[in-house]
Amino acid sequence: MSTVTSIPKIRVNRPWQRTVLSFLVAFGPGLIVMEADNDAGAVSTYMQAGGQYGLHLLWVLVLLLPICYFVQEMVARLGIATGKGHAAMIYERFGKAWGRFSLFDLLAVNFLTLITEFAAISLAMRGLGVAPILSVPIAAVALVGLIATGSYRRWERIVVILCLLDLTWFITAALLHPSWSAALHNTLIPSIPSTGKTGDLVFLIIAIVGTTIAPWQLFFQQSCVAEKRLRFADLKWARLDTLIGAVFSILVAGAMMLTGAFAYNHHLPFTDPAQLAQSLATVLPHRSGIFLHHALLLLMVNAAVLGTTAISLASAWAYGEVAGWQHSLHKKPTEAPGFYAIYALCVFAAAGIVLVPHLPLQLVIVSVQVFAGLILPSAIIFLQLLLNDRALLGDRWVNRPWNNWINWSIVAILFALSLLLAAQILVPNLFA
Amino acid sequence: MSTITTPTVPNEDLYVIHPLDDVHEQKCTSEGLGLMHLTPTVRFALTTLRVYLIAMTLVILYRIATLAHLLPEHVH
Repeated sequence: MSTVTSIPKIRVNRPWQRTVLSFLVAFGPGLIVMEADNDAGAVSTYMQAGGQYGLHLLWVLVLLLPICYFVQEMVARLGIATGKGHAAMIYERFGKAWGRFSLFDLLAVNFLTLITEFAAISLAMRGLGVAPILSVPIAAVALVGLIATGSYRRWERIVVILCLLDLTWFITAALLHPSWSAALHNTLIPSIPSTGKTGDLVFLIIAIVGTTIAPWQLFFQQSCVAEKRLRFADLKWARLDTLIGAVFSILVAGAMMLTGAFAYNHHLPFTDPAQLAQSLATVLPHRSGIFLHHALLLLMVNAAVLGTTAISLASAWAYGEVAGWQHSLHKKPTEAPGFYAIYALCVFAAAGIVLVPHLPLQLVIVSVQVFAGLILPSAIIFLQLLLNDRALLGDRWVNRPWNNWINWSIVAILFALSLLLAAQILVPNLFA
Repeated sequence: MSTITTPTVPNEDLYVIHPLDDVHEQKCTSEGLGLMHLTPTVRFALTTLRVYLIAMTLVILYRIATLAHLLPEHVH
């Protein structure tokens, strides 16, 4: 009785206020996982898609929206039902061999992704006049400091604010005066660019899929939901959170593509977003050019920071779950040293590698996309099997038949893309 | 004679508890369940998947090593 009365309650005056507040207290993991997926690699890929093919690939994003939502909804449901992370569930239900195999895959692809995040920070800050030798270590220390306060709530609030900063993408896209009717047309009606089905186009579409749905997202959201201790009654809010996150993330991705399409329309060649930002500063009128230059570079840093904290946490949570260590942002570093050490190790090692001179970063970026695209379908298969585990979840939480139809279709599509990717790696001129 | 018309919901229900402040729920647990029962077909599919992943990882590593010029020339 005394336990119940000591629980802090937030009083409200109207039922609708309770509904809104119930959503707000559960809100966070869905938005964060989706928006953190618009990381540095995603910025580069979407802008490259816009730069090479204009608005022709906007429809791909629309197709990816339901895929993102349905996959992440399963993860949120599993997290709420079990209160445990994804790695822990694979370990417990499929055994040590599969658990370690999945963990190794996750850690490897996550680490490669982290290198790309720091590469983006280095590139963007150099564009703003800060040398990498300063910007990269400072960013790494700040990213470790972000989680080291022993408060999940603090971390979540800061990261949600960083996610909302991505609203600036809509301003940058609008300032470039895109053709909105053409954008709407290409969003709703799939079209193939006039260049036809070239190897580059196939690879770019696979890269867009690979960057929009990444394996770390499964692990991250489930652990995050468990960390937040979402209750059974919060499932509907977690679903809404995930849906809002998915829609927001796809809209932001569209804004990135619109920004890249400016280069396509004005014949501005670029190899990375920082170079495009530089071109915009010279091509546009002074004030808007400077604003867009700074905004794009800072948004690149923001994307990399979001990606780094989410991906490093996904690794640290997963490793802690499998190793049986304390693995919680509610714990102080002294109470969960292994968990914080893994996070810090991921961040500092990736930052250190970026500072190595003459590192082939483009090769690392491509490797990440290929590797992530390869392991994603198998990660979703485990998720699908877990969501059909009636012995564990009972009738209430397992997938309904329509869930299974949708999800197996998603697995089939992703496998087809994965095989296409494999074929292109083995026979590089397949679609030439 | 009460003249109260609102709220329609009893006042004690009008509060929200943050999930982190709430009492812990009894979650679904795998304790005592052991490993998931897999049919031979699923087991075969998973094993095939593992072989495919290992093989593809090696192919990708080879391709990356080639692109990074880490392999001797005669291997190309």
